Amino acid sequence: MKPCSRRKFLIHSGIAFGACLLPSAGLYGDLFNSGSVKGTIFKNDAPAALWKWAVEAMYYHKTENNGVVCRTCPNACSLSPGDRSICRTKINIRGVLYSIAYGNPCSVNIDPIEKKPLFHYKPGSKIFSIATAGCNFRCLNCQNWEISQARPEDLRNYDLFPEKVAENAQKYSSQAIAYTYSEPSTYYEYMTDTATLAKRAGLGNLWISNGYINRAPLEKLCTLIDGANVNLKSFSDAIYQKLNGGSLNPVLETFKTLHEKKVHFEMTNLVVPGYTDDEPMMRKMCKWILSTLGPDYPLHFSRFFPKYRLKRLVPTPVGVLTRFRNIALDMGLRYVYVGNVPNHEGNHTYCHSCSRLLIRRNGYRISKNNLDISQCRFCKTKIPGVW
Amino acid sequence: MKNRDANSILRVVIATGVASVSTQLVVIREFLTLFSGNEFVIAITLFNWLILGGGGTLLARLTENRIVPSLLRLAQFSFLLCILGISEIFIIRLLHSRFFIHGLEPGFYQTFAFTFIVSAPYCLLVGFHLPFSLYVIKNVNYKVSSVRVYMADNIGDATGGALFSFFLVFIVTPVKAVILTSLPLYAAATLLLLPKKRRLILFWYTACVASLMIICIVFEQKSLERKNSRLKFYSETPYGRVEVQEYKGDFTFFRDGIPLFDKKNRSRAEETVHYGLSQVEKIKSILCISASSNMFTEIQKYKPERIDYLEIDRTVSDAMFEFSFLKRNKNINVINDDAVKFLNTTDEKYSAVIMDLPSPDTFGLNRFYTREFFEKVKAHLAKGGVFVYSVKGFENYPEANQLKQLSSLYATASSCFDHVLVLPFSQVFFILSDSKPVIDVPGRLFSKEIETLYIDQFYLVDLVEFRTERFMAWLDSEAQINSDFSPVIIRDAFGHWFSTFNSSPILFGVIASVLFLIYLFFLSKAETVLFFTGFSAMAMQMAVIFVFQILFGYIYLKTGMLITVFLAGLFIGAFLAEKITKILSMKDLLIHDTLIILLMPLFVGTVSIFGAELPQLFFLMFSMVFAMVCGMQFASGMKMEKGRAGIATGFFAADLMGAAAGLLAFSLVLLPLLGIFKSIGMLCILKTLSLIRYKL
Repeated sequence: MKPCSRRKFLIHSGIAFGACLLPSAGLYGDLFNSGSVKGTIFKNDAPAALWKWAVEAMYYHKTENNGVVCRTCPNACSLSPGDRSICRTKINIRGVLYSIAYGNPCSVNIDPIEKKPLFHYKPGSKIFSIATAGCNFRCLNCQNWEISQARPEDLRNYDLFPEKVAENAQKYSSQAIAYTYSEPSTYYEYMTDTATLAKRAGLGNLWISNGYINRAPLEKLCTLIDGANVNLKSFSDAIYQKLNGGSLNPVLETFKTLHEKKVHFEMTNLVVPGYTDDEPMMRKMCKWILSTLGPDYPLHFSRFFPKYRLKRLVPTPVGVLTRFRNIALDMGLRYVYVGNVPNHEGNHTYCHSCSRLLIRRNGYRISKNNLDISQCRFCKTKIPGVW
Repeated sequence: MKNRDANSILRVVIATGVASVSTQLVVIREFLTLFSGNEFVIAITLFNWLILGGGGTLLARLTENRIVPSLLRLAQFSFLLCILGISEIFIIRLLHSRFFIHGLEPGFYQTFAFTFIVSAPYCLLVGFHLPFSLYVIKNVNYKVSSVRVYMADNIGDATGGALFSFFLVFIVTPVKAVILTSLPLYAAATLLLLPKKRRLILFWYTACVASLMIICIVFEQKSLERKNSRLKFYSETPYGRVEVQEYKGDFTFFRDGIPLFDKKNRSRAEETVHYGLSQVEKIKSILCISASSNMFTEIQKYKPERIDYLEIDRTVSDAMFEFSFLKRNKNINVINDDAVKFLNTTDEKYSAVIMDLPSPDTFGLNRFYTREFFEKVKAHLAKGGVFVYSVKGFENYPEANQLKQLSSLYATASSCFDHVLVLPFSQVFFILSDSKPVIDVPGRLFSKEIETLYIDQFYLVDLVEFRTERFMAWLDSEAQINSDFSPVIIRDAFGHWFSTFNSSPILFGVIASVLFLIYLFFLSKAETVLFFTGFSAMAMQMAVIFVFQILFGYIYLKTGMLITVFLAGLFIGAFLAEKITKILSMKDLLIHDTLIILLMPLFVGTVSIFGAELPQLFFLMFSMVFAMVCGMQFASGMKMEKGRAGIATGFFAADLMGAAAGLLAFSLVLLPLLGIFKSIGMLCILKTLSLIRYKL
């Protein structure tokens, strides 16, 4: 047998080393159970020239060497010139932070208000809904990942400036404009400009969000919006990190601010099997809501379906949602709903005082409305919401 | 004595082939249930297997003067192979749950890294084992030809493949299949040691293998249970894995690890059934190509005379009724057959055909979304009949590749039917008919006095019109038509899958190409020839299977037969080369190459001219002949080099590496970009170009 020559040994070792490089490519990104899917900023990913209708961001501060720190959301992206934020919509060009998600929604729809879901805001109304690309989270079960995890310049966008948005909303007889689908905080400048015009035109403004926003921009937003649905994705910081790439506390702060500013809001809790269908955690969440926000804000327990990267989970058992609703009601919350389950009694609104049926919802249709403006027709109790 | 030892070694080689091929099949099925079941995952799993096998073979060459090629060592490696094989499924399940968070479907690179790392120990050892056997046999009796070792390996491979595909898959679980096919290897290794009086070593290995077997059998079922779930039903069928899991009171039907539907979800059934059936004036008979939960309950509202429920996998249809996902009724006729095959043979005309299959993300599923298939369906529709199918949709914005796929599907549907209504929701529904379908589905249902839960409540006609109009404006009017032999939508499906993970296969492609080029650069003439033969053989084997399935449908046993015949052909070719040919040179290899090159256009020409009129025997014969030429060339190459063990090892490695490259290039690049016939054309050109090596 011939011994292996040094040259051959080196060649084969080189190939073996290269072959090992192949799977190591998999170590990039969110491979394996790292505990957090939090996004990272995109170095040198900003377009060479400002893209389309870019505007200077409202909330940021400058640092040395033309650096900037975005202050819209708690991610606090620190960007050098040429960098792009975690949410993909903010870029640093020569020391100025720009939002490149302005006037360019990629998704424009008319939705029933019940789809948001907002059950205590003008039931049965039609809402002009817009979204641009980008999100500050990385939810593994995102149902709008096509836009939330994309850069604005990579999508097919409409040219729709704030004036046009308000005009279109009126044209389609919508009562309000919803900033929705992706995360509206990432197109904050576009949202606030549009909301200002919409308010002037007598239209409502609805913020459908993950609630991951800093106090200052939120306070300004509170002066413009008429209602909000904010996701309370779980009541565990570890799960927020693992499934969403965010953290719990800033979201809780958002609820407190909305409450302080007396904005009508509703909370959505997606019950994900194996993660957020934990009863003790749900009880803890309800306890916090009761003690901090009070019993009047509606809470929606929403059914999970396998989506995006979380495809190997079962849908949430309806029995779990029913049980969660019953527990939350027993704990003292007054308006607890079940979402994504047609024909469930948790789709309807009952008076918290006399327990009579106020609003019967058959999906997106309102088949019965026993509200007398904002009061229960039977016992005259005032029902919280925007009616 | 020398001959007896040589025969014992050959027995080990055959047994290794039996064990490794069935383990390979079981492991691939396991990966397909843990990861996405598309061609990328199949390709990288097989690629890993081949490349690691090739790596193991090279390792044997590198260590040939370091590890003494003795019978004892061979027996020890064989026992180790048994142990690794038996524990492989458990290791995969255990590490998968440790590495990935619960419920996650990992992306391409994660899948590649995981499958590579987990497969490495077993595959490297399998790759090492064959050339090491050759060293041992040459050590024992240098007169034994290397071709005999190659033939023994082929016999083992063919037997292992046949044993699993035709027998074990029907009766035992994956772990038991691996155990049963590892027993001959255990026995062969024991026979190596018995005459050498190595009883203590034998005892310890036996104890280890036996206890591992017991542990694996006892805990196999347990290892399938998901977090907080109870496994209510589990079966491995030739078509994949079927499970029903109970989670907190709800039952979910799983196919190949993917939760397809739960019992309580009526909305999907309503959408699948009523968007189409509401368009038809009078429903007499309906053909359902597969079905999801509660579908028949919705269909019965139209009072049809007959529902033909076509489901290729009997286990699936049985489980659907047993766990009440579907309700039994006298008018339901279950047919366990492939849809293409069924439509080729039946004369029935249906009022409606409802196809409820997964989205066309794989070549296997593409067959049901082509112009040829749509035309077949149309031929079985009664006047005014409707054909409905749906694919994965989007909430508010279709991703670019998905939109391309949807555009092609629309173009394909429009090329066969006068009217196509598209309802773009989180599932995109296509309603195809020669009568004009209307968008006001609730209105149609009202006039037919049919009550629904979801459609009545959630289908708001004006909003659906608004959404549909916008969607239609997005569609590409120049989109290509999807056909059997040119599956354009698969390219888009791959692109969509990668975009889900914000990744691209380019990094992988570049690294793999560079490595193959470096490897090719250092190969000898004969090795280069065998590399490209391995490349062509793997690609042609896949092409033959694809074409067969397109023309005749997915017939499990016949597909298995095609693979077995191919492996047997390699053996026969090697046998002929061993027995007939005497003095050999590079010219002989050139003759084989010429034959291989000529066989490719012959296949394309014959299939293009005769299509489905070809007898199925043609495909078996072609596989046999093609494999025989490849086997003959391999054996001739080894004879030419006078069976020197080191050289033969290089040949084994070149063949495996070539097969790995062929697999990647054909299934992931050529086929999606060029379609089947042009891809074979490219193979032909590539093989012809490789002839240059004879001159260099």
